[in-house]
Amino acid sequence: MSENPENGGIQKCEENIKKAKVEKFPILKLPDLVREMVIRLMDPVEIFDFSQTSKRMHKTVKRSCRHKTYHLHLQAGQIYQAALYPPTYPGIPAEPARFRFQALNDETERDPKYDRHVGSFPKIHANFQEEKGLYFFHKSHWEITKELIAELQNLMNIKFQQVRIFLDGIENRDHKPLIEWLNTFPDGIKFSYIYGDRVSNENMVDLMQNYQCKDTLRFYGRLRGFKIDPLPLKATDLRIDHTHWMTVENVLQMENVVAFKLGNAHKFTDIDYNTILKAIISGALPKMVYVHLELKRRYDRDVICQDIDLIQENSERLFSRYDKPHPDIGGFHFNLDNGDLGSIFFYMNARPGLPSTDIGIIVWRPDA
Amino acid sequence: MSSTEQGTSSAAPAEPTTAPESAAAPEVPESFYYVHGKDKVVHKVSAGALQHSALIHGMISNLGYTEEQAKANPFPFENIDGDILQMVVDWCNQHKGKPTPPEDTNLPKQKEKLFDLVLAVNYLEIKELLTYCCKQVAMMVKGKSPEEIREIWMIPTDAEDEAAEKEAKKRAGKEAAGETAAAAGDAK
Repeated sequence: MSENPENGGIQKCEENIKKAKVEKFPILKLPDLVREMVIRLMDPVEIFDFSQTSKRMHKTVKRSCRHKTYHLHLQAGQIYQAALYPPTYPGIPAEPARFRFQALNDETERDPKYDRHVGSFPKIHANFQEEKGLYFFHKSHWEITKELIAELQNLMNIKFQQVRIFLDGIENRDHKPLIEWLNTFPDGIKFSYIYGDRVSNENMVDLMQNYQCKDTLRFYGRLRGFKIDPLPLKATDLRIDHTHWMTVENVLQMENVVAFKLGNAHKFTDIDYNTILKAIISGALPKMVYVHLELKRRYDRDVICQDIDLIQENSERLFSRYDKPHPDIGGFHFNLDNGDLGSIFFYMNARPGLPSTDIGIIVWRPDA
Repeated sequence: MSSTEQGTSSAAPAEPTTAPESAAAPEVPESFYYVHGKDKVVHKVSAGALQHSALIHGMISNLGYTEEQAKANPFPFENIDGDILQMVVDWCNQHKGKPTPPEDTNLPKQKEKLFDLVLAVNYLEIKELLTYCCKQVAMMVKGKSPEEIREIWMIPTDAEDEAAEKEAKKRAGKEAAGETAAAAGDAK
């Protein structure tokens, strides 16, 4: 068998590169301020690698980059990824610096070139891939992720902006430690997106009852057969994409929520919605300002609004093309027990002839 | 062909608009200054181009030299090589009165020259050019491992740092001992 010419070519190129004399640049002879400027202009991956060269350079990097801010977007799944974006993102589009963590096994043990040390792990196989960033390969890649983020926080000013958790890709035993670790970030995490269809009931209950996310939280999992009581979520902006597991009690337990969307909420009956609406009127969700209910089925408007005094919106501008106020346009208003004003909208479907499937509720709170 | 046509057509309407302006405000003749480096070759640079350098701009702002005085007193920069100073002067001339682009690809590729250029630009306080140069230096280690970075940037290992520190301590100790011995001798 002849040698593969393509591979041969690559090998030859690599040999030539190795043979080529490396041009040197004595960075330590530059004035301190210039050297610090060079370090600040480097990509976070290179900053990290530069800090690995010696203890003295580690200190230099810390001194130079302590005010350099990056936003961390973490992805946790089969592969963990920590992407660092400049704080101007997404206003100004930017490519992130990516650190990826993969389990070291027979498949991934393909020529990891150089070793890095992170925290208590002295020797981690790692290689740099131009487009995809710096890969770390280790048996416990989740532990490495934690250590590396701690190291990045040590070197730079890192703000935890977003986390995407793909629970199905993470081993069951890692679910709880992951949530416990995420709860340790004092400033919280602005956006949390959680995916997972096959998570154990126990792990999901643990996650929902313990996760301290106080900002935006999105659940996309289908979670068949899931049950939870109570549901003390702390997020103020919540969206649950598949709500078949939720009960009316669960909805009314979300005391911190300001805005929420219940997707695929066809399991709730019209009477359930009537109960939720009445509870909102009596002050059950004291901070709630906006609710979007995605019913995805036909419903009876009269049942949902039963025993609630509604006043139909009657704006000349809205109904200028109709003889009398149209029930699908403009919504209805009602009074809450504390005197605030509420509105309910029955959204029109974009295609004529099809039923409207979504309901929006707004509470006009003067203090919100 | 088309480019020259475009050039002439775009230049033609510009004339009438610029003429009244120049008539209204008579143009102040641009003043020039002279600089020389280690090789003593004198470079003539306009005051506009020299504005890029905070150091020279500070020196000339209140000088009020006439053309003859400026010619007779070139600014000496003995610590900058002639070819490096030429490079800096060329850059200043090219970017005179223009907004600086986000990237400059005309910087020297040889690391030795780039090092001298960084030092010169830092000394002359040319902020934009210094940023380009530093970016170029930062790009040297793109995609490189810590070992390769160490080699390119000539960074000593921890062991070498420790040895150097020990050596420095030893030397300092010896010097201190020598000084105390000398002081004791003087006292006697």
